[in-house]
Amino acid sequence: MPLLEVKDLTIRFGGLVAVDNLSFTMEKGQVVALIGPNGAGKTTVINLLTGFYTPNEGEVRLNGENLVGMSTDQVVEKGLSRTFQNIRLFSNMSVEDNILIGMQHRIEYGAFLSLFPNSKKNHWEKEAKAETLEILKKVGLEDSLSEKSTSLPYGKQRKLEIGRALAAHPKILLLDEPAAGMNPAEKQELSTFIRSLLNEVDGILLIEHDMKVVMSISDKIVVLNHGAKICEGTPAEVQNNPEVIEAYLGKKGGHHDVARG
Amino acid sequence: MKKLLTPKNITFAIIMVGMAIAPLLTSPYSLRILITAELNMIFAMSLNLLMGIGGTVSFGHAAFYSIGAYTTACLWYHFKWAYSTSFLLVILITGLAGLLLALPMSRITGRYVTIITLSFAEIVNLIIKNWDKVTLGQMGIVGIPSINLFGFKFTNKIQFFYFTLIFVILTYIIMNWLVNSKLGRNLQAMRDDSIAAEAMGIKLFPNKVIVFTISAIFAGIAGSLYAHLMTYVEPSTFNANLSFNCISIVVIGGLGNFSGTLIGSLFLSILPEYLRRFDFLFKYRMIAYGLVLVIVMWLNHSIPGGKLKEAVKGFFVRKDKMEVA
Amino acid sequence: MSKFLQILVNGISLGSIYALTAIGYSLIYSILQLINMSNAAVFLTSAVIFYALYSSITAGSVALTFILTLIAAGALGYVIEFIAIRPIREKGDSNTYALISSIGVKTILEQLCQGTFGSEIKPFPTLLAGKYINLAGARTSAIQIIIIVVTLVILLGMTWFTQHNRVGRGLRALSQNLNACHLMGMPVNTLIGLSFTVGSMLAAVSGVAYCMYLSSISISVGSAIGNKAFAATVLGGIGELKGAVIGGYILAIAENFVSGYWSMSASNFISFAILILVLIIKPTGIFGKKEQKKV
Repeated sequence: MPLLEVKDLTIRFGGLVAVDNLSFTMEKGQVVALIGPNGAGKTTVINLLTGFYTPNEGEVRLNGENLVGMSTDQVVEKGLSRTFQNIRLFSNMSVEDNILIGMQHRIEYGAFLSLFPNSKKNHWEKEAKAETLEILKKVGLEDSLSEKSTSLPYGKQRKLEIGRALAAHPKILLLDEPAAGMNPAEKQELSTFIRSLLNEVDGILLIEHDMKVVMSISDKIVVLNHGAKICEGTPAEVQNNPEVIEAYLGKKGGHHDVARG
Repeated sequence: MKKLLTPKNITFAIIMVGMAIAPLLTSPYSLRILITAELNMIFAMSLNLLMGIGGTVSFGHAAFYSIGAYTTACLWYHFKWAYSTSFLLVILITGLAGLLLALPMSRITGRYVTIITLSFAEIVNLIIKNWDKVTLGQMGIVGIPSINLFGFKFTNKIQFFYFTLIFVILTYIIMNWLVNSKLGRNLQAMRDDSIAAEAMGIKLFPNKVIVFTISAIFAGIAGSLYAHLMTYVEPSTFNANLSFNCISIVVIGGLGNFSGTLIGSLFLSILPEYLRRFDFLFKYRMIAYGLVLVIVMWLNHSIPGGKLKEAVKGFFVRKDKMEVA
Repeated sequence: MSKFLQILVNGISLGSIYALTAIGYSLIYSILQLINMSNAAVFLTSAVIFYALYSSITAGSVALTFILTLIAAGALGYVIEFIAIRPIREKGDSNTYALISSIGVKTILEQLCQGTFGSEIKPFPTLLAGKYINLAGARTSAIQIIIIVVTLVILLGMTWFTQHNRVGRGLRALSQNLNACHLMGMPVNTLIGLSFTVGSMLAAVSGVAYCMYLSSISISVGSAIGNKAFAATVLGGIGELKGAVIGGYILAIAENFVSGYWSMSASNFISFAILILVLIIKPTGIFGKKEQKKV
């Protein structure tokens, strides 16, 4: 059984078919990249997987369990956690608090116990804070614990967002353009970092524009155009697929290499 | 331990010590103003929880205050209940009112909250005005006795003052516990970015309901104390201006800053009374109050340096504007 | 049947007053996403100015007093924007601050009115007092007809103004995207000031009209109508001019029918009952556009 199975996923906004009969699978330990030109519907796919949108048709199966129809918080509990294309940190909260929010659904005391000191609250707060420190170490932010999240430099904000998603203990991490706005050195480092995250999670779904990053870390690439899958395969297979070249560069594209991105 | 000695907590401690010795130094008249300031502190802290932490501006917070005041007043008038018993019903009824107002919140976004809360306060006021059998309508309920705790009757204002001060301290402490808990963090996350909060698995609706309920309860407690302080309640007291006054205190004191709220309450409770002293100003004393509002907004300074702008930007500024900027 | 008509006519004339004030709220909301709380105070201030002028300087001439009041209200609107809104707006602060600032303005104006005018009810000059027209059994006072006609003219004028006029187009552009207008080099500040002027003048027309309708004035007229007009704005969909107008008429007519066929005290509830109902079914109001959740 695949880790993640997306089957005939379709969503329409009015007359526009934003995602059209999309199917793909992800095996355990894989990094799957979703690529395609602007407006191909990549982010919509993530919104569908995480329950922000409900698809008109199709299934999303995580370890065989259908996630369609679940609300976002249920999906998070099932094990999908995401980052955003334009960083969405909690801007007035500290780095530590941002991570704590990521793991909030695992902290088992409710609203009532929040109102006064009690042993259950103390216990969970202590555990959560210890774990937060571990996560921050993994993403290299342990020195910025009490800093305000938006005062971090851009690259670190990206890392923090990934850390926040990891804090939810997801089975699959969904990364929406993690390399956007980074310089080549940072991108290189990020690629290694993402690959290393496979020690933490079972699989990673990646949306990325930078072909160098995609080609270097993906096990499998799914190419979307106008919401529909036009090709799927290993980086090498995708690079040489004429349909992909056409989608990116138009019909007269000739022998340009998509890898140049 | 270092967490306790924040500038905010130190400010709080200083104010409380000042308040605690104040009755020794002031006239009965000033004491009454200080009690009003205490009520405003509880009331405004409850709103600050909703505004500063929950990111929801309620323009109808007077509704809960009036429900609290009328609950205790009606229980005394109809059943002669003492404060110690009616207090529980104050909590229950204002809590339910908060819950009720929170229900439509799942369907609306930022700006419609303003509208719903305003309408809610208006409706509560209309009910109080017209439900003659219970609230005595426009006449109001008069002759409410001072607080009676399990048979112990408060005979002077100094006792009332310290009793209310205990509530102020409790409210402050509970608010701080709340802010530094899972619930408080979730609320702040929702305030900063509700979509990201949802993506992190926070259930928006239950959290909204809870914060409204808690906030309503504290506002109701302030209102119930008010009824016993003034010895009468009438519908016209609980108009929109009471809500606006409360918002002003919160904003001047700094959103999400509870010790700032205490300073804001003192300032806005004492200022109008102080201006009474000038005969020529008496007629126009509330104008100064209006001017303070405009000028404070204009300077964008909350008194104890709460960083107003950033605190609300994420929630209130329209998303499309943020992207351009 | 004649009772029905009578109530309808009363409803329409009261609705006209709601509608004019509601447009003021909606116009400014559509541009700044700001609920301008000072609008109801301008309503009251204009009526007080009219009263003061009429009983002193321009005694006897309703037309002259009216024109002077309009000018004063327009200027007041511009000044409010200039002093209380613009500095906050230009700092890029959130609308909540502008809103609180407008509450400050409201307090100042109301207190000024109370200080100068006092708190008693005074007679207000009206037009063609005691003249009635029988409309199929509905006894309609001349002032009611004047109010309805004037409102229609203003509404048509507003429609023409926003659709076929350079300034109107500018205002519409502002309501679409304020930042883009800035970048395009439009005189944004002047246009926003102008929208406050227009909103205030409309509030002035309805303030004077309402007091003429009652043939009395007291300090409480502002908040009474202000709240209803605000409810009307929300009902119709805040930010939509046609919504404000239709919301105003719906509320006023419903109120009149409830008080006519049921009871006065119930009529106080009906506006807000309708409002709650609409907000539950369609939170953005009748004409309001749905907000898209952007992820």
